[in-house]
Amino acid sequence: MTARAGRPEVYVTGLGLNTPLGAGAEAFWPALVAGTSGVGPVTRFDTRWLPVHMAAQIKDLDGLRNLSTEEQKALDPAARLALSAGRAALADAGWLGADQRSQHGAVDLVFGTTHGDLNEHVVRCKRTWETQDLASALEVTRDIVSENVTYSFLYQMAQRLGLTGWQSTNTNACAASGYALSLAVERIRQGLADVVLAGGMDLLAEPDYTGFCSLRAMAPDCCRPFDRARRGLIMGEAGAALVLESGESLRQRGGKAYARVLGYGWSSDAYHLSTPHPEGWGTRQSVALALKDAGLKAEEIDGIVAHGTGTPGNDRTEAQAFREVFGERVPPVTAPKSMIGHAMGAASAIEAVIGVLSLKHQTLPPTINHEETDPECPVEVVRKARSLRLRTCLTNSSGFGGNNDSLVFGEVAEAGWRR
Amino acid sequence: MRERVVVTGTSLVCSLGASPEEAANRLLEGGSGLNPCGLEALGVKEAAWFGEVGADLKQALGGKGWRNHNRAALMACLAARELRKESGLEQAWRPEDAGLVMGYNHNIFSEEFVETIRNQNLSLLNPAFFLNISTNATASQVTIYLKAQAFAMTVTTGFTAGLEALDQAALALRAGRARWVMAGGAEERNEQFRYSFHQAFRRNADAGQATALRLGAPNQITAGEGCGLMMLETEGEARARGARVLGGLLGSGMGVNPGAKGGDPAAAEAALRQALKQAGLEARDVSAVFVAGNGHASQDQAEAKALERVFGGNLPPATALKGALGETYHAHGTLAAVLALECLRQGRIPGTLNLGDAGLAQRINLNREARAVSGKRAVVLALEQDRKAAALVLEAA
Repeated sequence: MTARAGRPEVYVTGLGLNTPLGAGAEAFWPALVAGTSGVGPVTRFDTRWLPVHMAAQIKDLDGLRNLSTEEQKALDPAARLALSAGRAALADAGWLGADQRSQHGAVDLVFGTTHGDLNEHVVRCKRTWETQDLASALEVTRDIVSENVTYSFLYQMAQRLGLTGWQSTNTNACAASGYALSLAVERIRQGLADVVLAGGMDLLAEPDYTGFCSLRAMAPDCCRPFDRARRGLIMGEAGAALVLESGESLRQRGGKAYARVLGYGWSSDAYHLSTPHPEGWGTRQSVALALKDAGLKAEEIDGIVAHGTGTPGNDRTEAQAFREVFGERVPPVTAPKSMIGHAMGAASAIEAVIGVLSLKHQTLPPTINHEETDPECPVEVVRKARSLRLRTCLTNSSGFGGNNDSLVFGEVAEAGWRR
Repeated sequence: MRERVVVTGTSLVCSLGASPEEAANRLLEGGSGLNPCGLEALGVKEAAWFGEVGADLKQALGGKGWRNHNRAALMACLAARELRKESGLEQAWRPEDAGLVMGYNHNIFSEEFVETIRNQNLSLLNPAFFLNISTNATASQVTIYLKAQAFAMTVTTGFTAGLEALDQAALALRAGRARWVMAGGAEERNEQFRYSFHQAFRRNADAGQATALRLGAPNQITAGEGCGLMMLETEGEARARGARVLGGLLGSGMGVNPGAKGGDPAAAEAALRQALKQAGLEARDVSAVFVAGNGHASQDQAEAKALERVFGGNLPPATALKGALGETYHAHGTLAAVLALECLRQGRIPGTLNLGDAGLAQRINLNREARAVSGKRAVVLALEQDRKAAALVLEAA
């Protein structure tokens, strides 16, 4: 766990999150460790015509605590969700001023999302298609060209937080925010940034919900990762942000960090738009490359936060990939989507937060709804929160199109820097 | 010291042709890819202009097996196939060494999806269709088609996405994440979008002509579609395999001014200065500028101000390709970079079609006619309204 020669170290110095289990680590972590389910009937839109009706929704989307009244009124839900998480992360890192803006103007910003906020967009599309009037067409055009749902939330964040550094949006489906985090790491490593606000945001959206129904990928009741009786995923939503910072920046300001980012790995299945590679090639590759990047051997990973969607195909191939990389001694695996659902483009960011908090608390949260491990998923699934010695934690994500991303987090080596 | 990233192949599909040379030659001859597109079925009586890719994409790709691919994926697969050939990598191709970064906009605005939800009838939705409207579907289709397994990334940041894709590809190459990265942008325009866009900017049709660029005039943007790709490698990798080097990416920059409105040049100026600084160049070292100029009045003004501030009295010859190609959005940056490289190779830059404000054109050295340029370095600009800009400095071999 020593620094790779000549490469700037990357630290996690701030966390911000809004999830179906609450906002902020202080609410989220105890609920997660207690095995609380955030899943319930969908209230955001009508599902009576669809075969399934469950999702993990954020309950206080209209009352996010760290937004002003003006921001609550002026911003669309996607921007509110991302801004709230981003602002909380900057505050947690000690970079937020009294004016609720960043004190460090050159903070880079990169988020992952699948589609952003599609709900309002679909309403406008429907109206345009039905009326074909100019006003509706203008609204849709503005959505697509000017206020694009996949990135306009980033401008809202940047404006409200006073960020004018490099910024981008990655839309690598359900691995999007993992790629956003990796890009942030790389920008720090290559000396292009000192501080990056990186994360993911996705809202439960009617089009995605409908699409997953058409794919028959959703469970009717709950998500059972790696379980013999698993029937599919439960959709969720979240906003999650991490402040990544160079060791030099941390040292100069005397800050403290939760964890280090030791490495990341990418791969592309190049196999199918939705079906994972049948032998788990992509996941195996991204995990192996993340270990290599971190300079770690397989036996030096102490815990895994899995993608674990609860779909038959994902869990089987992911578990097989773990077996190929780690052999008989796969570290304990937890799958938080059993509690918070699948937050799509935000999933890997929220799971990175879980990995970081697991290191801080030396505890892996449970996988609920897991009764009997599928023999085709030969990994040890953590069913009850487990205290253990965690020096490192791997988080893993995959998305449609075969996009895979793995991240390795490690303890902060310097005792005085640890929080 | 940053490792130099070089271009070992280029390809494109656009309304002016299906190869960089063909499209550049047509541009240099003063050709336009903008034509009236039929929206009569949607009740549009006047001519609606559009830069449409005319090629039969499925036929060009071999006919069968392309039923479920969206139009952008077809363009991107075709461009990627040609790119691999042009880069001399067909035989040497190793999937785990090849990466892809693609700027692309999602295509959720579709009749099938809207109809499914509007009628609350799931049987109207083809699952394959849902997969193909995923934002990363286009990039994924390319990786599946050519077997690119190092990584694939989709950048969905609007008008600057094509240039951002090139920059992120360079980042990944310097990180050792791939030996070769295909990078660029793709954009398709379906009928629903064209209708919507036309309604929003209908004055272009009322004027009775393609008016992609009318500097200083009311907003008169004409849409286009296409795909542009570059094969990027580190210089060391390219030399080691004996690749033909077409040019190099010398520097890139991004300026962000999120609250800007009404012609604020700050973002464009910052992007230009950063790109020149990263390239280690002064303004006078640049031979040509390929501006973003899309006919949006305040955006064109902002861009002109930024160019004046950065280049001062050293403003090189400039050109605005959207007068001939339309606003190709996520594809713009890379299409412009590919065409810039080809034009620099020929020592000429195209004229700008449909110039509206001669005074403003004169300020930033835009010309109606093609002209010779000396030197091999160009700046390509992309503006995401006034709030964000990306700039690339490239050099032809």
